[in-house]
Amino acid sequence: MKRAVLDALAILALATFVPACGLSAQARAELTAELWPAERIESALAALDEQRAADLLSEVAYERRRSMLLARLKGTFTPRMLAVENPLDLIQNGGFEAIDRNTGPNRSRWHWWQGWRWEGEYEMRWEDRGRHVRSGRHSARIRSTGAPGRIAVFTPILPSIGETRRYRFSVWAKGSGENELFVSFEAGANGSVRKRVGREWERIDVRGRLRPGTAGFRIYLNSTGTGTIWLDDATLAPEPGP
Amino acid sequence: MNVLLIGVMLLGVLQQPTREIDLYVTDYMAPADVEPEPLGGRRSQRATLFATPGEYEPVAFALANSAPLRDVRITRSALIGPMGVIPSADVRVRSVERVPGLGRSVLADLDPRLELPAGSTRLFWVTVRVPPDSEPGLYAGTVSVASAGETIARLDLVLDVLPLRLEEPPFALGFNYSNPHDPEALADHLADMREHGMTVVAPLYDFHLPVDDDDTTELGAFIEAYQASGFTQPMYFATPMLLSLNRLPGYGPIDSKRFQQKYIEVMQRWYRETSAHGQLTLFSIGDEYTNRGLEGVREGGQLARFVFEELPELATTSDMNGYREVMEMAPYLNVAAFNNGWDGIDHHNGGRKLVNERFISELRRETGAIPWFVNTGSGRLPFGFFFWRMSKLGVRGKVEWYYNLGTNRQGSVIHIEEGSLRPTLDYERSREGVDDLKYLVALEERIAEARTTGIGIGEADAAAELLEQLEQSVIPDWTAYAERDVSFPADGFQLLDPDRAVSLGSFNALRRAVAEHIMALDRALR
Repeated sequence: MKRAVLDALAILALATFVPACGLSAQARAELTAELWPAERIESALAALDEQRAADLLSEVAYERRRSMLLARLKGTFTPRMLAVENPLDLIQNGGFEAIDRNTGPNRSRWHWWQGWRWEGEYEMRWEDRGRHVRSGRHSARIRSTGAPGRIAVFTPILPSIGETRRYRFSVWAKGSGENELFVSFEAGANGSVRKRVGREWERIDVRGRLRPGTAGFRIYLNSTGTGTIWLDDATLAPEPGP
Repeated sequence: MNVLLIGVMLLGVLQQPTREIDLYVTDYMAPADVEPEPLGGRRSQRATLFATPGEYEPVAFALANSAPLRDVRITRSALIGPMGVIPSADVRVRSVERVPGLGRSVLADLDPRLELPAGSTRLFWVTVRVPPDSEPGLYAGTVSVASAGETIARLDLVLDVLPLRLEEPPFALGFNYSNPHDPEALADHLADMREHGMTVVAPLYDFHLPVDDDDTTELGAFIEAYQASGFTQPMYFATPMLLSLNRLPGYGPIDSKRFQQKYIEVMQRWYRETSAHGQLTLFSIGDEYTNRGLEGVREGGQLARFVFEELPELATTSDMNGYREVMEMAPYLNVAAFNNGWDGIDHHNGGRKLVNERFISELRRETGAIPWFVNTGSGRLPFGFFFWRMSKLGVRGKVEWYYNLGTNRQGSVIHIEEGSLRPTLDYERSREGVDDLKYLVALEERIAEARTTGIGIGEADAAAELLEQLEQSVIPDWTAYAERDVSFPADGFQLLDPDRAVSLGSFNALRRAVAEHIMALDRALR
């Protein structure tokens, strides 16, 4: 989580903490009631018996599940995992802080993001040298090591939010050499920016619009040049409009 | 030994090689990528087998020639005995072929006219399928090698059909599986797995994910084929791991409403389909979170607990590969499926391995999950004596990587060539492992029956002693076999009859000992 986002969230959290707690509890109770009619609980209890008989449930595990379902039946069970809220940002790990070291340089090195190389010679790696990090401890570095081609990190499939058709994706970028950054909405949405990025951090904004009949999309951050590109602080938000 | 068999053997002696050709029985458990050694160190043109009705049993032989051989044809006869005939159609001869890219050797149907260059040594497997209605007794036949119309070598086969029938073992044993999108291929694959002794299938790739729609028909079609093929164990449905792996992360983190509600929706769609078919199913929800370090492990724990609370009607597991991951997730899973584990890129597991007695005891004590193995290895020992040993610790299933990965990708246990299935040697040996397991379970059942009825107590005691010695001979720690080159059976193992080991191979010599105790108990009980 990065500087500006953290500040905004802190203010938002302070302003809304007390009422939000009450609202969350109410929302959780309502969602629980919706998800757990008595018939479903009864059916789940029967399923446990079947699992135990088929050697798919130990006695200990059976009792634990059964107790939970009986508590649901009585209305005394408090779900601890059920979420009733969504994050403000649709991008996870937008600051490229969570690193997946168990990866190769031609794949994404970061949690949540996926990656692939089509052609050319490139290396992806987490950057921890402060002068190349906009906020936090890391940025993402994509470096050409030979012939130009195409390498990318890209999001998982992002579902559209309700009826929203327009989205704005922002990422901070800087570069060196004959770099080329190509940011594009793909797989269900249109919108792209292709440019060479300079030596100072700059925010790249790309507006995307869902194609008719599609329910989701991806965003690709491609490097197609021969220089180096650093990326940091990516965000995605819905925008008003048809 | 009857007159027929003596006749066959004498004929064999009289008609052995007339050219510079060397045919000898080898150990089908030996590596296929080195010069084949004679079975038991003794060159023999006589292969001895034993099997029960319904069982498949292989032998292997090598064919070495110093001069070039043209137009080589290998034929086999029916196996004939006093009690009947096993048709030649049930005697299948295949050559061992190395497949580039697969990384393993497969059994391929014979080229009708082989050309063997000078100085070559080829390896062949003969697999006898004993028809289920075969009468017990000795059967004999031959595999003949001819070149340019003249018989140049022969292998004599002597099969002892045992007077007992093996039942399916009470464990889930099988492989991960990709949807072939072809009903005929699906039926063929499932039948092939059944013929290899498998009791479960774990669908993983190329099955539709009902995320943007509610279409679960592919799963339904698979279940129908699964049931029609005679699988009776609960299905191991591995596809759901793809939801958390790469299909739903765009909906938000696991603790967000959008992710959770979509996850519940998709899982319930699949659950309705399995329920509609009355198919008890184990849903695998995660894939090797250890690979993503401690952060991944925490995520796996979150997912498991969420599924435990909000989808408890589903029987669940996860494919896990590290100590902390298993201990984080298992309290919320029905079944903990794991391999031997690794440290994670951030070394968060302190070198702990999982496929061993110590860990399995801890797992059961601390989490209540039922242990299964996943991707611990295919072959005879992993599916046979080792699995049997670990079943004493509560292990109930084993799912391996992979039946048909991609288009004949490395890791597949079969190679598909124009629709025909070429099994890898590992796959064939896995069947032998399952058969070992069947013999062991059969003996355990006989002993239990004797103890219950009070009949055959002496035979039961002797059999129990054998099983105890066998149990002690298997090290309950896969690391010993996988990383420390410990062999099984160990050299000089006291239960190994040296003469039998020479003629049958060491695994089959042990199996024969088990079989004889079964037969002794059967005689006492009946």
